[in-house]
Amino acid sequence: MYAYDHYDQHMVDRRVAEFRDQVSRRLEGRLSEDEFRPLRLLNGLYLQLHAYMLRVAIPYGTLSTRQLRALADIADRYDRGYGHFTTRQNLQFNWVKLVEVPDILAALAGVQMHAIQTSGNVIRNVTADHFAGIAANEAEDPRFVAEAIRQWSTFHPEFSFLPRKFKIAVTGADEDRAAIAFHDIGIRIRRDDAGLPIYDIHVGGGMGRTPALAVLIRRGLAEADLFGYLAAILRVYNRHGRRDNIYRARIKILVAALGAEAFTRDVEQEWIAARADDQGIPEAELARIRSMFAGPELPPAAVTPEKFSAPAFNAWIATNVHPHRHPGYAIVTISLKPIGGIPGDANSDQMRAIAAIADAHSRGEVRVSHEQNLILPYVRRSALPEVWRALGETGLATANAGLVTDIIACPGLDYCSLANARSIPIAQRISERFATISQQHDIGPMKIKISGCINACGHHHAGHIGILGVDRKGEEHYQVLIGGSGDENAAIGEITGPGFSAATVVDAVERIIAAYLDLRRPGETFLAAVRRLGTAPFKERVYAAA
Amino acid sequence: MAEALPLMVTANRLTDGAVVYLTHSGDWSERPAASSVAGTREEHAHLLDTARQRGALAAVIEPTAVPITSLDRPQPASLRERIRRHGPTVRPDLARA
Repeated sequence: MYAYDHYDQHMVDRRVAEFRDQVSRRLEGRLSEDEFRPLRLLNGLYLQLHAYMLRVAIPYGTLSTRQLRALADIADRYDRGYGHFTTRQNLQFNWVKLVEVPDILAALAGVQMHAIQTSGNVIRNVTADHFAGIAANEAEDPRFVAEAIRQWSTFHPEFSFLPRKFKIAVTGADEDRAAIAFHDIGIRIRRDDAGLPIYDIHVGGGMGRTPALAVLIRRGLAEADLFGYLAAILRVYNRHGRRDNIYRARIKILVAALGAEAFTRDVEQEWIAARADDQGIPEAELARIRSMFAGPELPPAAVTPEKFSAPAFNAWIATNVHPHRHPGYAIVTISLKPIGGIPGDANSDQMRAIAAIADAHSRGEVRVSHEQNLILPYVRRSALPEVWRALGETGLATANAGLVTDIIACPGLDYCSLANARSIPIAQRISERFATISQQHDIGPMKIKISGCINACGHHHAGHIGILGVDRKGEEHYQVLIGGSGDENAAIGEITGPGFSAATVVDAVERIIAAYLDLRRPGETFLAAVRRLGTAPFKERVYAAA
Repeated sequence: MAEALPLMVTANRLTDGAVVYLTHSGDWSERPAASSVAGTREEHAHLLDTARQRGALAAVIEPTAVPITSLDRPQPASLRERIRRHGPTVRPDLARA
């Protein structure tokens, strides 16, 4: 894992002191809310429906157990005993007090964490494959690039006032678990014929009001050119991106307006022009950062798990345990989607329990996935029964990773000041409707994603079944989409047709799934069936009963 | 556009973000009460004038007028404001009295 050096720590400590002074001036009335708002947002502090919300950055979703325990302590001391893991691999505290935020930031700084650039028109927390460094088919651990981007972009004067927020994701695997096609910049690391890392650069993806898949604008960029090229993209965006209309300000709009070819030409010209002067990050510094992601030394371990015949354990193994690059080890997904629960929420007891399990069985490291689950990256296969039992003691052994009840949902109208409709209750009802494990396994891989407004924090465009909450004459109403995907074959979901009331939307989801079960070929997943059949037969079934 | 009558003025308290409602005495209360209601435009203007005179607006952020259901039982009319008033519907344990 990356560990702060003197400079990192100094920057974060100084930022805490600066914000403490800003809060103090706000409370004394020396700063107006108009003056203070951009300052608090740059420190991840929002005002939501019920209270202030602090969004804590978890860079590329990697946490030490010390950090996880610190988050649990903050939840107890300054919040209401829980936190919400988000689709950007961050953690949100929903009930913080302005007067206490400087102390929270100081506590975070004490464990090398912060909330810098988790809001505002800047480069946000860089996300990465949550199986980084442990996936079997990976060219390179993408977290070293994500960390280098974090350092390069934090407080970067040229990129601190972009036309709009800017999201970057990095993967080093063939299988895309980071949804790079839905990011402003998506980076895929590969190896060239000589075995050197090279970078494919995708630009202009995003969700929100105008969903778009990123366009591959550069294949096989050499590592030495990576930061110069990223700077060129951001400069073109700074120069031409719209600032007059918030809904037309993201880079995806610019790429579409110029056309991918013209946009790429501008970027290449800018890159070549600035190349002599902009050397990016020194090779030695990149090497220093890379060395911190070497991963722990893993002693040889038995390849097969202990004999353990409990059906519930076997169901958990089937969905929540994944192949590891080291024989004898496994990757474990801790589902934060208990049946009928709130997706992504974990209370402080659960955080401490996970920290204890990770200390005992996962080298003191935990990951956050953009699917709002947690990951234990280094579990010996022989320890899986013990890990499963320990997780079960705190309600964390739900065997549903990747299944119909493993639902992404944004906080929605229960918390969010931007939302038009509630997301969480819909997720809870779908989860309860499909609670039976055998039914979930029968349905197979299924990603349901729910957003409470068009901003799409719940990634509904990328859901195999997506649900978008809207306000229709003061009533919650839900559009349903099908066929979306955030993986290496990314696709934007298609709206089925007229929306549904809160009372009927779960029935609509059930009818889509029933249609799939009727129409599928042996072994065919939901997404494969939609791609083979198109959306028409599903739409027909959805509205047949209406 | 002016909000429909009757209405209340709500905001979030500066120090802790708590949801509060303006009363005719110029204080902020955590619960809406009859003393928070403006049944006419004149009463609404009076509410805000009193708050300004007492410096009450400096203690909150984003003061907003919201329609309520009736003069007798001053509850917010919209779902959004009802959720603000009572807390997240998915966490009844955190509900506000």
